[in-house]
Amino acid sequence: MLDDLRDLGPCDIVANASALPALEDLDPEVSYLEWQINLNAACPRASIDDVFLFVSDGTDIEIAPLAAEESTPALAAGAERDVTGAPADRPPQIASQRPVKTEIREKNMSLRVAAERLDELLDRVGELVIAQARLSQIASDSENTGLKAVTEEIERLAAGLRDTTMNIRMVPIGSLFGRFRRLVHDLAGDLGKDIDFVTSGEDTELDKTVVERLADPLVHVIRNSIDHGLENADRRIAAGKDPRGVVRISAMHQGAEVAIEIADDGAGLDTDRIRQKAEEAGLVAPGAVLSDHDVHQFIFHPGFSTAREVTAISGRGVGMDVVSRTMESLRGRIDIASRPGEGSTVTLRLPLTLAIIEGMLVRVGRNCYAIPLSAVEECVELPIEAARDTRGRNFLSLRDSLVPFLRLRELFSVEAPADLHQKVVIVSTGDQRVGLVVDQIIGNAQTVIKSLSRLHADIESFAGATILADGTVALILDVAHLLRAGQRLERRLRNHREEEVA
Amino acid sequence: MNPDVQQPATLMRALTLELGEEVFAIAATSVREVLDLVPITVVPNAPAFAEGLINVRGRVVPLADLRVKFGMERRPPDADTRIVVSDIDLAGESMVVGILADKVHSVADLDLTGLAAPPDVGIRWRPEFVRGIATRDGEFIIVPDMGAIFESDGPDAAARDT
Repeated sequence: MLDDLRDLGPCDIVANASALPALEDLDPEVSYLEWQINLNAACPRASIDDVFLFVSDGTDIEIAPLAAEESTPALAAGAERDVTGAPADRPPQIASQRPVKTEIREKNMSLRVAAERLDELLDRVGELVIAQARLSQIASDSENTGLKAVTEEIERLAAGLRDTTMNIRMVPIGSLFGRFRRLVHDLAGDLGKDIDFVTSGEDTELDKTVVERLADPLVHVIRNSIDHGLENADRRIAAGKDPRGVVRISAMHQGAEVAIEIADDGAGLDTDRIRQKAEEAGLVAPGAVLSDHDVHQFIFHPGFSTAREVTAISGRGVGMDVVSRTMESLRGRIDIASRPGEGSTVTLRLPLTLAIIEGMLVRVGRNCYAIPLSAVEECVELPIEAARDTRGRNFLSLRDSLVPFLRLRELFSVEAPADLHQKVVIVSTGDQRVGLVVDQIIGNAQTVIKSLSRLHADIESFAGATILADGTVALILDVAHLLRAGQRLERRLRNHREEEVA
Repeated sequence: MNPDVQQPATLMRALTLELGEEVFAIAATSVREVLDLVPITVVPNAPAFAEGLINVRGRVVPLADLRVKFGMERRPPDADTRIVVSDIDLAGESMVVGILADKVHSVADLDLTGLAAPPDVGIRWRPEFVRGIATRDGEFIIVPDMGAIFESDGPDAAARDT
């Protein structure tokens, strides 16, 4: 950064360590150093701002033109206070060699670890938890109080270790936002738009893999907002808006989900134009009645673009399609809200982690299955008459609404006789609901998701597998797939009934 | 896959195991461990060749039954049944699988000098699954081509197996 400033002109750099306290009083998380840089150059203020673009969040930067007696017209002095992270015993001269590091924003000490090592650690902890469950089993059959005490202790430690290991994988999303600042800056320059990029919720933590995979989709959404959403200055002024457009990105926890919102104050989605394009592409019949919400869904269609011409930035129609696919693979959802003239908001909702979910364990025949608890709405008993009636009516009347149900034992070809009192677990996403008939509901469990190997990749009913406390493997049901199966069943039953009537 | 095959006059360190009435040899370098029978989770609607999942030290590993690929009759596990956990190269990607064995014999050097190509007639299984047949002490040992066996597990192969 100092080199960048030197590129602008001759610099006179002074580190001011006068605020540095005695060694014993030093708080490693507090910044004591101040840098005074006298830049003797004729350059616009904006180019100095550019140098500090990526650190402006974590530092106090004052930039002021130098006193007028200097002969150069636009002079600036930057006084920058920053966190050096330098150990207390390090003399400030050495610290000054690389004072503005990327750690500025991360005020805590951190460590870089290869992701595989974390996965390995998680596996080991998983093994430990399983071994511990076996130990507990043995201890509960024993009369030895000493053994019991130690077992309880180990149980507590293992649970704590597991939570800690899970937490290690969480990283703040702010690391991504920093990258977007540059993107917005460059795009604003390319398009000649004046854009204010506002971020909030940088501390929101997400699983590392999720954060990595989010980068691409977010780039697409931000590009869209800037290119399609924000109008150019003339049109903004004509519409009575501040000529400077705003793109706001924020992240926040909402229950077991993280919501990431990308909002702009642009023109909003052009519903008519999307509709026209959709009709041209044959996605919708002309004249069909569609809500604005339905129309907006077309932008996620592969190859769909409303841009009149293909530019370097967008218009090829791949962007939102990528967003939608990535979100699906991350088990997330996208919502779009748009008001004409006021801007649009894209909200991405994601599960906190890919590695672990809260699951409901159920038993069908002899096998245990896990259902993601976030999808479970309620559990009811399967009425005796519905249980006996193995063909025909696969509907459950639930508070005056009909819910189709799938018998998992039929789906999974279970031969063992069914339990007398079968249960129905109602799962839902959005407004779709389907009941899953199981033999027994066992309870809730934190489940570590393991993906299935390629040998089982084409079996759609399962989203993965997990290892239970007793060391056996349980499959995790893919709710989205089961819901689709439920809808197919519903359609088939309806057709069947219509045929019978005919 | 194994450089030993290209150089006939070499030895392959092999784990021999029994399946059906036949003896198979797997390169010992690809074997991770041999387990006693563990609880098997059946994956509904999976091909018979790989219908189970097992927990190998906290890892979910598919369990393959080579008998299905070699047209042998499947039978319930007994006290001698073992699971050979082994690395398999599948389309350039390495994966860990468990292989069911009726009995595991030993690890020994197998002389590949006399490795005969599988005869076109006289065997029940598909020739591409077999790299060759070795002999030791007058006994025939099948050296299976694991890559080809697992590769063949597409949807069409699954339909054929079941």
